[in-house]
Amino acid sequence: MKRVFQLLNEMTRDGAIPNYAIGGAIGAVFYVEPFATQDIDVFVLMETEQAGLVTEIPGWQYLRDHGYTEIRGEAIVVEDWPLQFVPVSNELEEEAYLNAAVQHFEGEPVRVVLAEHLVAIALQTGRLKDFVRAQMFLSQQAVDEDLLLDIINRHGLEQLWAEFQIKGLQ
Amino acid sequence: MSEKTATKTYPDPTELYSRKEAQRKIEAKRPVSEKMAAVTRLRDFERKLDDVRKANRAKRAAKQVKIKIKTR
Repeated sequence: MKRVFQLLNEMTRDGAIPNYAIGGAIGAVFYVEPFATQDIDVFVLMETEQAGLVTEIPGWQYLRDHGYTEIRGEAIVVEDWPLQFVPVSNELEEEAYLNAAVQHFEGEPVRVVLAEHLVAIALQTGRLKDFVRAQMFLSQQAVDEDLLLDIINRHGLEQLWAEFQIKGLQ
Repeated sequence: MSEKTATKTYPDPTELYSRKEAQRKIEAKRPVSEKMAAVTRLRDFERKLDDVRKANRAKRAAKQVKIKIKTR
């Protein structure tokens, strides 16, 4: 895993991507116990056409040029970890990307989405497994609830938050 | 670091996410030995982050986390 983070930092330094933020389940492991996943979801800003079509996934050519050519589904495999670039696709994800905090793994700095944004994104995605993930953050006291409520209110997630609470997951 | 602010035209990831979900279903059919190896690797990663998680909880308990850039 350390090599994956090193590679993302090298890609940023070499200009292959403007920046990145680790999200999804791997991002969550920085705050709570792990989930049954091994995909590394990496938020990146992408160039788009007016229609919103992604014109180019940043970083892929860089990885190929550095010998990473194994594709598994939508991911490119780095040291046996599937690395998945995910486009920032709404204002909430953009805020999460911009506010990602530097954490450290075995001495290697890595930008990780804040716990509060991970929970808000889970609520926005809205599947049962995302609600379960959000519940883990809350039950393990891994979020600042004032910050989370601020995000929920600013991004219009009040209805999903209410639904989450009604389902008794909090 | 040259941070670029996004335009308000965001890409539509719907198709990407449905392909990811399809791949997840394929991966679920892998042999148990492969799944166990993945779980072991993930557990190893998780254990190495124990102190990081504790520090992150402490920061939140002390109200030290701020959202500096708000998009709404």
